[in-house]
Amino acid sequence: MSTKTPENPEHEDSDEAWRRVFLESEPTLRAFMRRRLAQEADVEDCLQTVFIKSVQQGDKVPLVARRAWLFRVAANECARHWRDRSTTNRVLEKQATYEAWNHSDDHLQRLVAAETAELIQQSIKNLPENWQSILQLRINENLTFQQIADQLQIPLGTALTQMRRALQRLREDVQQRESEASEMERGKEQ
Amino acid sequence: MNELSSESWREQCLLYLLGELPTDQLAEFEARLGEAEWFGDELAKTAETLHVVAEATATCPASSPQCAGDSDLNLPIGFDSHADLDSHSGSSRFVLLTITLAASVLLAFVVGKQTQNPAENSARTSPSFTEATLVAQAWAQSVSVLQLEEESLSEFAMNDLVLNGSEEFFTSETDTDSDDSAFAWIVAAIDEGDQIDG
Repeated sequence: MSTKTPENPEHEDSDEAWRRVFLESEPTLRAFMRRRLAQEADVEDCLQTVFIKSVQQGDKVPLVARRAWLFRVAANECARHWRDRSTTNRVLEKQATYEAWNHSDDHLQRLVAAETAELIQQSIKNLPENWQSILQLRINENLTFQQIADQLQIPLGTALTQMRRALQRLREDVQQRESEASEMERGKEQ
Repeated sequence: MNELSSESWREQCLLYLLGELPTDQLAEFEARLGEAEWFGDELAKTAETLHVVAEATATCPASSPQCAGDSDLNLPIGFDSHADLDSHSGSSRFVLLTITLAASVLLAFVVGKQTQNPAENSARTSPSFTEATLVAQAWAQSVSVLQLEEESLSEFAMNDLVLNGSEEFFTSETDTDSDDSAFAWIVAAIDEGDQIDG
């Protein structure tokens, strides 16, 4: 299927694609961050960090999820900002533990990401078939909701709602698994 | 805000993150984001889920750089063809590796064979026994000529000259030579030639 969304032009290198997505999202990102950060300077700092991280990602993030990735990282950066602020008086303590934390961070993140991916794949199989189809067509084949609606011969609103519900279900599955894992951890500690 | 409008706003979040929110609704969307904190939270949650699902639907783990860009290529049948491509490149890599290994082993064998027995190799390139025989015959002829010269020389010496040590030695040596000595020279020459050639 050769149809593509406006966010997916051909012959665009990775940096250009990231720059375009970032510039398109910047006003909304700014509004999003202003709600979470107290000062405009902090918003600017976080925006810069998000942009640098986005360019560093290269092609690692699927194009369809790049705007989502920007907001995810923006939310994390805002949280990190407050965490750093709240621990300013414990800089030395943090510095002492930073090295050990930093070394294990990458490996741990990979493990968590791999486990989450496996869980999501399993959860997708448990979704109703029409939800699976919409998820596949929207994320993997990058069709617009209108194109999906036309192809499946369903109303546009139905395609959108089923996609939203599919994502909601997947999110709940992940949250449930996370809470089970944290309960097990607590049980081990006790 | 009732439940229906909340659901509607969630769908707006989804449309925005996927780049499908109409531009005339964008200003309202941003304004709403600045007003309601829950809306920002909802956008962040949807963004996280969307990102995780997009990466998880790749054929291999999201942490793998090889598969991370799969959806960028937008092949019609999703990621299966990428998996085929990966497996093909893997098998071709294996074949290439095998061929390289076999070539290396063959090369090592040939070089080893050449350097393993230098005596044998030199024997192939050394003069044949016929050549050695010819050399020996040449020696024998030269010895005969020398004998003739020595005979005339000894006559000359007997008559006119007093011989010095070296000449005495030479003479005495030639005196002791018999017809057998010519044969000894031939044998020695052949042996010498064989030894030199290895």
